[in-house]
Amino acid sequence: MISDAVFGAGNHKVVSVSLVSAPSGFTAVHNASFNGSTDQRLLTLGGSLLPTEEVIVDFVVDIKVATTGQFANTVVATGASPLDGSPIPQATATADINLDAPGDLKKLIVEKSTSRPTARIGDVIPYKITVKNVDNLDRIDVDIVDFIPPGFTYRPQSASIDGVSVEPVLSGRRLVWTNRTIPASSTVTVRFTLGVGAAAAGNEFVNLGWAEDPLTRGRISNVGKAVVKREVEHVFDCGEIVGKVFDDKNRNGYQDDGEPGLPGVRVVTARGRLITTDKYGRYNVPCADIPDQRIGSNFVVKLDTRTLPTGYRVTTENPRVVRLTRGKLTKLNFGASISSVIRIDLNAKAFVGSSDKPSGTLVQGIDQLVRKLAGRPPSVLRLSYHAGRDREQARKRLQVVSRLVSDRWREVGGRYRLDIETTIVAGQ
Amino acid sequence: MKSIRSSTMFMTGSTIGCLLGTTALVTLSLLGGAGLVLPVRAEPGSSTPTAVAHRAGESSQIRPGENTEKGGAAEDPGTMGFSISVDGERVAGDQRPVDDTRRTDIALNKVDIQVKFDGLDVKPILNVATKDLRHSYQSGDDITFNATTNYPAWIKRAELRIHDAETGLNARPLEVLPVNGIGETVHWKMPATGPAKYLYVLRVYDAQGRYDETVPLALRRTDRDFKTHATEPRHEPVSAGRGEDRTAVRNIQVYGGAVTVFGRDVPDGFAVRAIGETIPVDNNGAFVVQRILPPGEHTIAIDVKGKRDGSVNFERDVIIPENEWFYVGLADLTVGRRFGSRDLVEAAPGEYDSVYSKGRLAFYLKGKIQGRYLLTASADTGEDKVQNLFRDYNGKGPQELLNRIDPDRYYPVYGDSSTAIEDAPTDGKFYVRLERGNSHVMWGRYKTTIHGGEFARNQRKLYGGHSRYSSEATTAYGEARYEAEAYAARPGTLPQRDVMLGTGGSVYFLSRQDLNRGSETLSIEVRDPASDFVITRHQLRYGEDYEINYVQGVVILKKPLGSVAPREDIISDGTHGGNAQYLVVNYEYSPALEKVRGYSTGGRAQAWVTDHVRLGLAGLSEETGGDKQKVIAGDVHVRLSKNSFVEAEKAESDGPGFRSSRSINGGLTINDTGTTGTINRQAAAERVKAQIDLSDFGLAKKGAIGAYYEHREAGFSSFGYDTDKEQRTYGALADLALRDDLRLKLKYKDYWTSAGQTDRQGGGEIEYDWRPQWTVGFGVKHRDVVLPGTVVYGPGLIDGARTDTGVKVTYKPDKDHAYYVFGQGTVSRSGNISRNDRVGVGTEFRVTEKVGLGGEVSYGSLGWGRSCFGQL
Repeated sequence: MISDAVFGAGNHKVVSVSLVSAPSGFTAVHNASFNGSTDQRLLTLGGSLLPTEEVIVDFVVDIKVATTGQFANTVVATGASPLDGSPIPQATATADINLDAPGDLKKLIVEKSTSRPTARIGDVIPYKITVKNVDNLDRIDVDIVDFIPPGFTYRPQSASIDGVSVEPVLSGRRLVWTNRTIPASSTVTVRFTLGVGAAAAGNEFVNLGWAEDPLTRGRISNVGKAVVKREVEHVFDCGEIVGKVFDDKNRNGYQDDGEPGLPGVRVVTARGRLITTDKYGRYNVPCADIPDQRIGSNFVVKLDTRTLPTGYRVTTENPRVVRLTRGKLTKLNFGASISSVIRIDLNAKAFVGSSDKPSGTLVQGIDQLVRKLAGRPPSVLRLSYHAGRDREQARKRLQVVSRLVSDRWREVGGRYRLDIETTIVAGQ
Repeated sequence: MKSIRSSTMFMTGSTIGCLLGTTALVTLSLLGGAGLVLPVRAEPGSSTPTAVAHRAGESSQIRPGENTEKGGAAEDPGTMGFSISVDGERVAGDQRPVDDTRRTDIALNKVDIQVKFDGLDVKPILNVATKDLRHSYQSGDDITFNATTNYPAWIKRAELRIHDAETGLNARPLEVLPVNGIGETVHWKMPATGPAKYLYVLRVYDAQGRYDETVPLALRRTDRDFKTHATEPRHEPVSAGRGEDRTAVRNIQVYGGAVTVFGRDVPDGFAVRAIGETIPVDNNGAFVVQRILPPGEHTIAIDVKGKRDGSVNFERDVIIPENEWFYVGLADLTVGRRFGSRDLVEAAPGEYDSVYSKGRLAFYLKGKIQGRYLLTASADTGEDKVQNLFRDYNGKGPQELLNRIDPDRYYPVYGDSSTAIEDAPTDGKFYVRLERGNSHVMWGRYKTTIHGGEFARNQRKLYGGHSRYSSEATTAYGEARYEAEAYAARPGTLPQRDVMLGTGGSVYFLSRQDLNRGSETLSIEVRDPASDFVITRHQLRYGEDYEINYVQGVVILKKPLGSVAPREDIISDGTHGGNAQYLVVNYEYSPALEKVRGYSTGGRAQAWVTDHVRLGLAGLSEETGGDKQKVIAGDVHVRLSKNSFVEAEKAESDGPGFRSSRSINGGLTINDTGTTGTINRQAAAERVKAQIDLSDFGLAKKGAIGAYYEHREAGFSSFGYDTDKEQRTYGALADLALRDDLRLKLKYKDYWTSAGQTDRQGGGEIEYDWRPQWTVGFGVKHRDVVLPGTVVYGPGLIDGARTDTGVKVTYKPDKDHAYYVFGQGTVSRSGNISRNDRVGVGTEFRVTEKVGLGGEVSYGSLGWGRSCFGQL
């Protein structure tokens, strides 16, 4: 007999059964409708065996099972006692069969794919595994295995095989759909979704899939691979910077009440990102960096002082380094203020007669000023001439005075370049 | 200086009721692209004037400032004649500011002027717009154009060129108006006759004859007084187009430093002159002006002058240095060790091990050398183990992750409107770029712009090395005499090309997702529906013409694209006539499964040997995996003028070709066309094109004659060309104005493939202006085809010939309305080609100043045809 449990229904076909030898008078013939499962009588009734007599039956079966391994083939003999018709004790015998994989059996072809090229933490990614059998033999008892990326979780009730919902067996990072049959020359498609958990790490997430022999745990297919690139989740991964460039009127380095922002000022990062502040002096560096997960990272921003209004100087540290933390906003403000403003207002009376020679009091005044400036923070000099109609003269006189100031400034050893701005206010 | 974008409003994809299953769509787009920069205004309360141009429509009156004099204003004007104060505290001289004339308006004292200069951030600006930003004018209207730029020091002369919109910019301009000075206005009267649509550009020349030119803007003649945007005095554009750059052609090499002058609190009725130009002051008494000046010492003079009473003259000395540097850097070293209880250490092996050291070196540097060379460099090793810092220098760095972030997506998080530019874009650890004028050498991320020929065109966004040379010597036509460009990259991405037939909608799905940011090049190609021969190609601009979602691979056009180009001929072949319109998208993507290894190299060199002969050589090589694709092309261009020329090109390709996809429904379904080339088999292609503008030969008649020939062997493949069978196309056309009221058009085309397909068509049409309002046209067309079935000819293999004739009568009661009726019929037919009889009516009219609508209904042997369209 061949029991169904061994090879599986429909996986074998009896090719021939013949009585090789039998005692004369043994009339039993082989049962033509024998199939090993629903009809398990190999021989029809009608024969009797005397002691020492034997019957030899030759029996050829085609097995379609692709699974390799050892199979036990059991024969069971039953009969009835000729004396009272009661059943005689049944006898069984077992022969072990080693089924080797057919040499030319091709590997299953596994393809894995996802419609999502990128993902962020918290996303749900649909995956598809197709297992293709290129042989013209069915493959039964195939385990379809998916090896999920670390930090990913399987979404329950999301798996289906060819449209029929089948839950996988979960063990660690393995999702296994057991005992699947891949029919000859066709394809089985498994679909499921995974969630990207907070523990997912790395630049890309690799999900592998293959087919396995449950007995040997050996792969019987190639390894399909689906790669999802990680999209930065700014809430969790980024260190953000927001800040303001403000008019630090009291030069204390902090933005106090009544200290407005400075628009149109440029700040620059070390990667060459040039940011121009908006009309309230605000700026941001979205996802400035992905800082170290444990201890954060440093980030540098420098204010381009040439973009400050004339006469303004930075009152805070520039460039400035801050420590970024993952998922946290860091504030980085720059203060700038107009340094001392020195005004010199002039009119014709400050010059000798109609010449361009400054009057003695003016020269004295300038000396006094320059001495006073030497010990002060950087300053801007605004030179105004309140002229009548003669603007040419006004221009000349301003030149003389500004040269005088710069000469004096050099003489006292001024530490910085004194910016001189000139203005002529002309009457009619 | 920043400028607000033109406030263009769009209603994309608005379908209109008459769109019964046919293909056209309507876009309503107000204010087509005219550069609109409205007045510059200072922020009240902020201590500095803003450089930002704001919306018009807000205004505030300047209040005369308080008298800042200390007590006793009317007293003795001071005896010493000067007053020195530090931070408002008197140091020497008189008690109060000296003002012995007392005639200067007190408000003038409040005028606040600031001067900034920047030698590194030099962006030339050139623009022109109509002064009132209108677009449609009645005949006889005086049109005032406002030309603006920030580099007049380089400009020798400027001109405003007005072209007929139909013949385009390549044809001779109808009118060339000299522009006296930048900032000056130019006047033109809308003529009563002639073309109804014009294009205008501003062209400026430097001393060597090189020129820069703006993007064309349209003008249109109308008969109606359309309501337009608010133009009452307070809201009138102060200086149309100022501050916005709309340069299309740039040859002039501008260098030096940018000086920006801001001013605010200019009293009403005062005029400002700065840097030799009258500066418009906005309704809030503020102004801003920027100039690019060559290196050296400059005195910036600003004059604020009233009509009667007084003036202020400011002078600021500015030194634009020959050499200027800006840099920022970071060197970071972390040495650490993590401690924990023994249990913890055992639970997490590797985390508590030993002393670790990590470092990072990063810098950004920008400098100007000798006034003309600009160096930009940046490097970032990323935070890594110290021994890895200098490894893998051209490999892709950790920034790759950051590049996937869409900065606009998180706007609500930050809530400010600062602007940022990436000055050193790179995929790897470093970026360097040395440039001088239009030439540069660089390593980083760049976009190739190889054009000039047809067969080796190449626009890819790559990461690697790139160099470009553009000689300072120019031809008589203003182009650089020698130009060369070369690139080499290990892209790690694959080029993809999607060819999508217009759907009538504006949303198109690309065949790939996760495109490389900024790698796309979109163009609209009008192709022959039978042979796919490209008739015209028009490139789209990001932001103005389309938007794109890189992660999802979705393109949204601002104007919907119909499947059929507007009718040009009297006789149409299908229900709508016209050629097929395709959206062609080239982009780079990173394949999810495989890693791309390989090299991309390419380049082009061209030289104008004389003013009339140009030789060009272009090549590209693309190695992906084991496959190598090579294209090499040489071309010759001989011209008599800009519009009369002969050009020929020969190319050879070797390799499998590039991937492309086609879709007829906007990307919902996609057909991947296999690559057509074969490895180690060369295939050649040739092309000749000739065009003659009759006016170049001194003929009084207007018109153009042209001919073309193109032949490609089976397997020829390049960007944009996949040839699966040998094919050849040639044709000729003539467009002649025989008299002012009589026009003749002739066309012939012959298409043949080795698969036995042929398409020969020839025809002519004549148009006559019978009365001022009436135009009559008559056309004949013959087609002889052997083609697989198409919608145009019917199903199955079409093998036959037919001759069609057609009539079209157009009635234009005024400039804003046109009505036409047409009829066409097949007069002879052989083979199984279907008849092509059709009658129909149509109209075109203007709805508002900037929007026109049109529609057509026809019926014939090929069925109903209905379409409507909108235009600007």
